[in-house]
Amino acid sequence: MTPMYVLLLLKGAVVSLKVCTLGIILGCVLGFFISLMRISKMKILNMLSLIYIELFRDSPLLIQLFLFYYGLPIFFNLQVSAQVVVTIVITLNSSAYIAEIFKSAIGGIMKGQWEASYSLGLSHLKSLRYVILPQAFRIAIPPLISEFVGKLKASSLGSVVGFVEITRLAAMIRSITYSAFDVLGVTAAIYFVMCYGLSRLGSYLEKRLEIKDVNK
Amino acid sequence: MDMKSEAMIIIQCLQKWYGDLHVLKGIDVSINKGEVVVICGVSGSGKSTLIRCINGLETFQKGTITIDGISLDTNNRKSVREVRKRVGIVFQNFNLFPHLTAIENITLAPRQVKGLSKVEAEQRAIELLNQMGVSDKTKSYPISLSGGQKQRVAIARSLAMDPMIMLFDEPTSALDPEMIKEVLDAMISLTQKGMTMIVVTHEMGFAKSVANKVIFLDEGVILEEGTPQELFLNPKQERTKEFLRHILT
Repeated sequence: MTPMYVLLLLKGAVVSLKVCTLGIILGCVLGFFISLMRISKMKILNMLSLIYIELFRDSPLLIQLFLFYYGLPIFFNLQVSAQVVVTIVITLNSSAYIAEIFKSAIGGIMKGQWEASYSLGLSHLKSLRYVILPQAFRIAIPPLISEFVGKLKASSLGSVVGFVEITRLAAMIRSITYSAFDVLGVTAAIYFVMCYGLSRLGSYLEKRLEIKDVNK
Repeated sequence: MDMKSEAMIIIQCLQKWYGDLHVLKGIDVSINKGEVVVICGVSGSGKSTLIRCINGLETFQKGTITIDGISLDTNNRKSVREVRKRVGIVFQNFNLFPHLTAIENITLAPRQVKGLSKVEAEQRAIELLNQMGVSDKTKSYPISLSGGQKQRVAIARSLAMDPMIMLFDEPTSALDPEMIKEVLDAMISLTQKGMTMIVVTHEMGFAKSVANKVIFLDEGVILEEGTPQELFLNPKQERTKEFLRHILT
């Protein structure tokens, strides 16, 4: 392992992190709207969101990657790079999980909060916006972070559709240098640092947003 | 009866079921402006359900509720909104918004519902916090408040919407004994301002000193009602006597 290879792996790590960050952010936006459909009183929205969630949760990410990789050009005549395919699949797949995270975070808020808000005259939407969501968001941070970490690791699957990210680069370096363990070891270490860093970031956010009892 | 007084709340033949459970079996109550009514009864008698029906937190299947001339129909959003404009409620568990400071708890609805500016809403909130004796807690989050302080902030939050009627659902039941008095005192100060109040409570001292009427609810019916003197000193029903023995000892 020369420093050049390590640098190359680090560049690959940055690509992985970028794609996953974008995918998770878009997944949060999409997941938020799906979670609203999920808690809606309208049966049809409920059903649609549930179908969406189950479709993406109940098949392997790898199969979804292949389906989009081969399906987008065939069915939608879209010629897109492997990186775009991976971003799309991470967005859609994570949005299904994130919708469930938001749904249970919203469900975890005590009924009394809704009642107090309604009683003060706030509409359903305003209650959601000003009373429920700010509290639900705090609850959602730890599972959101673990979804992020999970997707960062799973994005290595992108290497099989030709997405050049850290795992793909590791495989390429391995085939050049014929040394397996140091390349894989360094790759694993880089993943570890990224994932551990994300977990720490999550704990930090949780601490930052926690409301402290000043008497204690 | 005072000829000038008009019924602010009229409840007629109110019936409610939870599935098969018949919780309210025909309640008739009429409450005039400025009256203070205490509802008591054992748990499960339907007293909380009754007052939660009055601001549309519970649906009901039969009967009518009329608030300030508005007929409450829980399927009609407009009527619920109009009723809630006029009726404030204070809960046993406070239900303060934990992510907002005391003053933000109070100003949220005036700003979002009435469209008051931040400055206007805060001025009024500070007045109310003063009136409730918690003006030093303006910037505190609920987690840093004692139970008694929480409940007084919750009362201020409700008053900030200028309701004509205040409902209290066991406002002191979740409090340590030493904090009950501060909340009751705050409520008594409200009665002196002429607020129409319905209070579910077992605080008989409060009932004796400020209630115009006490209603004893039992298994979804009004078993007995009258002035505190009539009901406490001379209860007619055996169930009422039994309940009072329980409460007073």
